[in-house]
Amino acid sequence: MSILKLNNVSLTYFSKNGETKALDNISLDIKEKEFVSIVGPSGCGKTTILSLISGLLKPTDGNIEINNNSSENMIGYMFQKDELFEWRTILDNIYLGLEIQKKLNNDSKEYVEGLLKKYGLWDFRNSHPSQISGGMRQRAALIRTLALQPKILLLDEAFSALDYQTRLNVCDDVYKILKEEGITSILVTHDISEAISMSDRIIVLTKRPATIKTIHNINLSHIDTPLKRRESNESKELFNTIWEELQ
Amino acid sequence: MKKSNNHSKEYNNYIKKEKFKKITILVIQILILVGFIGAWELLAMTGAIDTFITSSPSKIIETIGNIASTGELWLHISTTLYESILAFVIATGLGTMLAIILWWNKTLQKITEPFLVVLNSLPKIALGPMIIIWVGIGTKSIVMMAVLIMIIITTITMLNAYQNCENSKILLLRSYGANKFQVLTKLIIPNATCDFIGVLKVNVGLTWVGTIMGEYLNSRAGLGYLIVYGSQVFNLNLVMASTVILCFLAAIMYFIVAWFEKIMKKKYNQ
Ligand SMILES: Nc1ncnc2c1ncn2[C@@H]1O[C@H](COP(=O)(O)OP(=O)(O)OP(=O)(O)O)[C@@H](O)[C@H]1O
Ligand SMILES: [Mg+2]
Repeated sequence: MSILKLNNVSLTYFSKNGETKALDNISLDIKEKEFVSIVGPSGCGKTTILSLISGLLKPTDGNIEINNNSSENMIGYMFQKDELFEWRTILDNIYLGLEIQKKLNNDSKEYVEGLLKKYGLWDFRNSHPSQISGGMRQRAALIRTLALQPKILLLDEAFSALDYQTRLNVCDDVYKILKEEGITSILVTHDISEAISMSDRIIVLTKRPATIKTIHNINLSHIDTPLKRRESNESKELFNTIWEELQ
Repeated sequence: MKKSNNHSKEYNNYIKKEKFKKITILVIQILILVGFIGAWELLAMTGAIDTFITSSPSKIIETIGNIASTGELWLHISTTLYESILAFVIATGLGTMLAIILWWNKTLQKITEPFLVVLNSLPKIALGPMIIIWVGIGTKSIVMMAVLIMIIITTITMLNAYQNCENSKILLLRSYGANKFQVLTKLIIPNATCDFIGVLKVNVGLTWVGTIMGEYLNSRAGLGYLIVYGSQVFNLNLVMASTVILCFLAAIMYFIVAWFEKIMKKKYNQ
């Protein structure tokens, strides 16, 4: 079942220096619980797509349909940096979105408590961000987003600020969490292997203004973790194909 | 962290050394102060310096005792203290509020920018006579003087701090659907805590500059008034005594701000 649809979406930025066409006629159909990655040359318009989906930007042309059967807020957004506020404890950071949407009540607090315990941050709930490791911070940022119980999660290079070792582990962590919570995810990344190891589908974009160049369906579900998928032969072949496409 | 004794020997040595350094510094500081006062008194007693011009520690204490016994001391202290605190609160409060308004309204900010810059570089003391004509002599004009000295720099500094907030953090809040007011209260203001404390520290010094300057221009009471009066009648004991009291008051106010800083930093983990 389709949860999100982009129909012939185009976007042009207007600024003092002129206009920049970032997206040109992008159409996408994303199914529920699907994991989709977007790769493309630097500055081609990947972040722009996420901004459109999240509603931070409105398309210049075309439209976006979100299959919204509940009136709940649907979309969570994770950025490259964890953007945790240093003056708040981990717990208060996680409450941030709930506070803003005035949903901080016993139910939501209990839900957060469950997430913290499940994903190993409960003992650190009263620490400040600088007192925990980079991997834990990213997990905290994820829980902050999950606290709002989004149906769709947008990840914009969410792991690229981490060192390689941590990054592989966090990818595994996050992947597991997202599957468990049944969340549809859209990941923007520069790391082709990362895209291959996590996704059901990879969308390759052209240079700016971005159009869709190719779409790869991936079938690695017989391998259970992203880390192991990176090692597989299928993924190595696909890596080369996508690498060529990005040149 | 709990205090425990299972630190390594090297660590204990390190702590000991640090403590020793701290104590040494404190002792030297006290020695300098005592030495200075002692030398001053000694030179005055032996007649090596002219106490008519330099006064002396014992004379200063005597003078303070004299004014205290007439009951006037408290009047002067409370006058200046009242003016300083009032000006400090008004300038910090209004300045911060202005900064918030200018952060909120970009157009207004662009419009006022050149005026703020010019006002900031203007020596406020030049406005003294004008202020007296406009608001009259006394407390009002003194407080006004001090407020003018502080308010522009407060506004400029805080506005800068508000604008320095990372855009990505604002985006995060907006992705939660935060409105502008929520961005302000949840992010912009707490994010600028360090800068606000910096402003407090600067203002706690400037407010004394402002009130004493104001009192030089026009006043019937206050420590600035005592200093001017003392110099006019060439009573250096009085001038020095007032200056010493001023030092104490300024120090106390500074320490209150420093204490506040400590609490805030602890709360905000910065
Ligand atoms: N607010 C803006 N105003 C004007 N131009 C913009 C704005 N935001 C982005 N652009 C331009 O639009 C193009 C696409 O930007 P976008 O951030 O979507 O690219 P990206 O693919 O995410 O890049 P990167 O790989 O560097 O993250 C870029 O050329 C950028 O310079
Ligand atoms: Mg980007």
